[in-house]
Amino acid sequence: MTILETKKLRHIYGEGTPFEQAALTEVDFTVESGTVVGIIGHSGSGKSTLVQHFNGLLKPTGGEVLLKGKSIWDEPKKIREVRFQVGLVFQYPEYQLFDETVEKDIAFGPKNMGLDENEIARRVAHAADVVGLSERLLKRSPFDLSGGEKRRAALAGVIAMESDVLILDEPTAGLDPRGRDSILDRLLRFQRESGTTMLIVSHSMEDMARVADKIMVLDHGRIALYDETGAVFSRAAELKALGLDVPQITGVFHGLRKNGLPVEENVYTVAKGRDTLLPLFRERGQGTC
Amino acid sequence: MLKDITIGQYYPAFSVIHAMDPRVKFLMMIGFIVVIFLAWNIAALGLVLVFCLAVLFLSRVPVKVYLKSLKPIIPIIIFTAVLNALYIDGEVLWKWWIIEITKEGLLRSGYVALRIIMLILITSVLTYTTTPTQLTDAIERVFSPLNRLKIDVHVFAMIMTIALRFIPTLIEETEKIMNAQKSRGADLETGSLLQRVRALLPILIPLLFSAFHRAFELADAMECRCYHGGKGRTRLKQLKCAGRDYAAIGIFLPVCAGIICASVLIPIF
Ligand SMILES: Nc1ncnc2c1ncn2[C@@H]1O[C@H](COP(=O)(O)OP(=O)(O)OP(=O)(O)O)[C@@H](O)[C@H]1O
Ligand SMILES: [Mg+2]
Repeated sequence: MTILETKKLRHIYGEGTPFEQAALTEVDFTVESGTVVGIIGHSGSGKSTLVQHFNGLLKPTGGEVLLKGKSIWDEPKKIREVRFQVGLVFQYPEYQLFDETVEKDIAFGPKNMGLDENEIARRVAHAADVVGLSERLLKRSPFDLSGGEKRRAALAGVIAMESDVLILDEPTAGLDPRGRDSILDRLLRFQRESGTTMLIVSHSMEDMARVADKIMVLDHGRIALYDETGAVFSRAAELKALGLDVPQITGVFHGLRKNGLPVEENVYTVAKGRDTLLPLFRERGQGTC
Repeated sequence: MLKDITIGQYYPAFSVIHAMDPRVKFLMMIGFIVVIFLAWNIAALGLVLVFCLAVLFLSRVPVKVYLKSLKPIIPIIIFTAVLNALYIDGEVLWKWWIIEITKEGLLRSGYVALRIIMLILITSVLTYTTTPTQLTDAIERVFSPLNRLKIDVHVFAMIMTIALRFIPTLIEETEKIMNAQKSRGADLETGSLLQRVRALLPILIPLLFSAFHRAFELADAMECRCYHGGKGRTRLKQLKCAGRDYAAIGIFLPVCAGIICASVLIPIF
């Protein structure tokens, strides 16, 4: 079932001023319910602009955005309802923290939704658990946290709204490798358990390969590719032409094939790479190696 | 949106006015404002108008942009014009109950409206054609004689430069924070006054936090580069008067003289 859809979506920043800038041109895009869609594209290709249309922060210059088949701007008064259904975590979201304690800050979204105390408490605890914030940290002031902890707190603040669609704009940018893996794993587990539709913007092909079912490639405000993750990564030449790349492990396997090893081409996670290489080693191990 | 508020509203274009020395532009603007107030009759105001339009034309900034700068002051213009129309005695043209409209009153309100419009237009020319940094630079130079009075003009200019530099940054940041909180369902538009003020907290707190953060960072960065105030400081961009500036002064002074003469020699109205 299609949950989110754009039709001929266009966006021009500062229309009618000398600073006019077309950020999106004719974007037709559909997202199936319950899937994880990765959005990649070089810097300035319009990724952040696109995702801000999904919860009505930006109004299209042309075209429309449909949520569950209904245009979100049909009733401009009800745009808040849309925001409860489509959660959006911004690029570097740490600055959104403001309340006395992390706990209260996470509760900000659910409170705005008008939920009752018990439900709010449950959601806060659940969201904190999803991102891995300990009980002790919940009582601290958000301003006293480390960068990585702030990121988790900010993520939890949106996750707690338990929206149908969760959009993450570069959730792992600027984190250390372990923090990045841990947050991604937790988000993915949350997604599998809750069935939330997830859109993730990222510059890391490795991250994309791990989490995305489908990948959309943006280039200068247009969709360049939109397909299953494997299918997108099999088009290495095209990706390179767009200033992007395939995951490193995929590059390695392309190289191995070129050198005559009979390995599969569509390997885009390290785990899969290991699984394809090990049997090969065992086979050959008897004789040559 | 917030971005529509323009302060330091530089409009990039290539024109003689853009290229002029900001000090000359600044002084000419001050001079012209004085002259506008000295113009008391149709002839003088006509000259002011012609000069104004000529400068507007030379600046290569679209008329639309100038009209936009006039928009916010339309109520003020109407208000003062109406007051003038009602309170000046003279030949009565139209009377209803205690309201009298006189010929002199109408003329006067026309003059006042025209004068306010000219004032706004001429200051807009300055702000549209001069970048904020050029402007503060010019102000620092123009007021530098005050240094003798132990007023540290450089410090004020530096404060102004930094403030102007950070206004767009803060606006952008406010917008970002507002967007983030709106995404979490913050409701900024409805509710009682108290509720609305409370709704601002999630925006103001992060904004203040980051503003202070920025201020400390900037202070550190300036100290690391051995900034120690204006003494002995040289400039990257030297202001220099060129031929066009002298030409501008050469045109400007006779025009002013003409306006003042017209105003003094030709009787009122
Ligand atoms: N508020 C704005 N006003 C004017 N132009 C903007 C604004 N925000 C973005 N743009 C422009 O729109 C284009 C797309 O920007 P966007 O932020 O969507 O890119 P992005 O794909 O998210 O890039 P990044 O990977 O660097 O985050 C860019 O050319 C950018 O300069
Ligand atoms: Mg972005």
